[in-house]
Amino acid sequence: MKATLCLFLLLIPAALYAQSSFVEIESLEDVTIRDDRAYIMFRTVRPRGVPSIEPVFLRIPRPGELGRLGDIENVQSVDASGSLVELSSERLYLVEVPPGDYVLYGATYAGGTPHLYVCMCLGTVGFAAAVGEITDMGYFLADRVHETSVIPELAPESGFGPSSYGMTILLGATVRPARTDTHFPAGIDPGLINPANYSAIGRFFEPRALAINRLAPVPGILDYELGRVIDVSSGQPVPDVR
Amino acid sequence: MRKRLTTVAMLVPLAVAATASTTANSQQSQAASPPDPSSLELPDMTPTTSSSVIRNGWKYFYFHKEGVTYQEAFEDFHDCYQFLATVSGRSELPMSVSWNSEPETSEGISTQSPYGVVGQVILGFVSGAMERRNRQSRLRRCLEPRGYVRYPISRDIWRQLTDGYSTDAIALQALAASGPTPNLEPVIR
Repeated sequence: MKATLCLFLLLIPAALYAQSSFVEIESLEDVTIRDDRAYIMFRTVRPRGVPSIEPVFLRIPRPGELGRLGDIENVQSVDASGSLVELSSERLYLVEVPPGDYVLYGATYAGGTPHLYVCMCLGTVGFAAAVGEITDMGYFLADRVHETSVIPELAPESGFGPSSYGMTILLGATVRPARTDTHFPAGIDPGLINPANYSAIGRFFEPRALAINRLAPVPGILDYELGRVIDVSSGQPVPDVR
Repeated sequence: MRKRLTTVAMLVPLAVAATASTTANSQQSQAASPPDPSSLELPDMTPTTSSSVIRNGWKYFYFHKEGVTYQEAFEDFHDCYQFLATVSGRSELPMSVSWNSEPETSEGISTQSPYGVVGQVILGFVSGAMERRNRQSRLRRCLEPRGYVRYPISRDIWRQLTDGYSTDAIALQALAASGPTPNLEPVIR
């Protein structure tokens, strides 16, 4: 028995499966808005030919957490299979998250162990996810961009050809903010839902990404001028993050 | 939820920070001082007439921007070269990432980089064409929004110009980018 136990312990791999701090809510019956958590809602669309791509978020560490990096998990993807509502044309996600300020950090292909296939290192958006509220991002739109995307917002930032990808086909992404006519699921108190208050985020470095890109411009929020990230609301360039 | 494979090595603090300046709109990051262009030995940049070189222009090309000065091109390349930094074998989703904080050293991520940023420029696990395309992709996404276009060159000229993506290559490529506009169609693939 002891020998068997020892052998079993020896066979346990050094790899550990980490429990995600993101919880994808997959049933309306499971929707309980906690007063110590925040909630992010977004939709995805997958026209024919568009693969399943997951957003990767970074939660900006709070000052008290900076000394404990490694003890906290502040970079997460959202599991594409964890949708709350699945319609013929789109999926809706509701994700329970730690409250805080978030950055749309990158994207990864769905399925398997997530990798940072692309970081939005050349410009992206951020938003706050307040405790006890549902922050509605609108749509997270993503596609491979070696060919011109059929997603209208991504078309101008795609069609880069075969020299645009190295180890993996380059991904592009953007957000389409929620509008008054944006669908949200029945059964959720609309008073809890607030549209994401997006801000433009400057460039940052992430050497673990397989590729780099920038979030496609978001009208009224994010634009670029000769590669510089522009905060549309102020008209000013946004400085690099790090 | 999709669980993430987490190795013990990933649980150490992973902080990626650049030594780059944090001044506003620091696209040029640290002040870049280009070498005297007369000290550089530019390969023969005579526009090619070879149909095979033109056909393979999506593989071997150089960047050019009409009207850009050598100094401006050098600053652009110097800035974009920072994004070539990668960490060998570490493409998994990072768990903990600092943001706007002071640089921290971390296991496996060197603070020394030939391009002036944190991170080891090692692509040991890829080679040849994959390494070339990986770096080209990054430079394209950084330079093309600034108005740079690509022109085809032979593989030999490309090798001389890029010099294995050494820091010396920054000045060479800047010199080529600021040179005469070739009488060629730009590469669009």
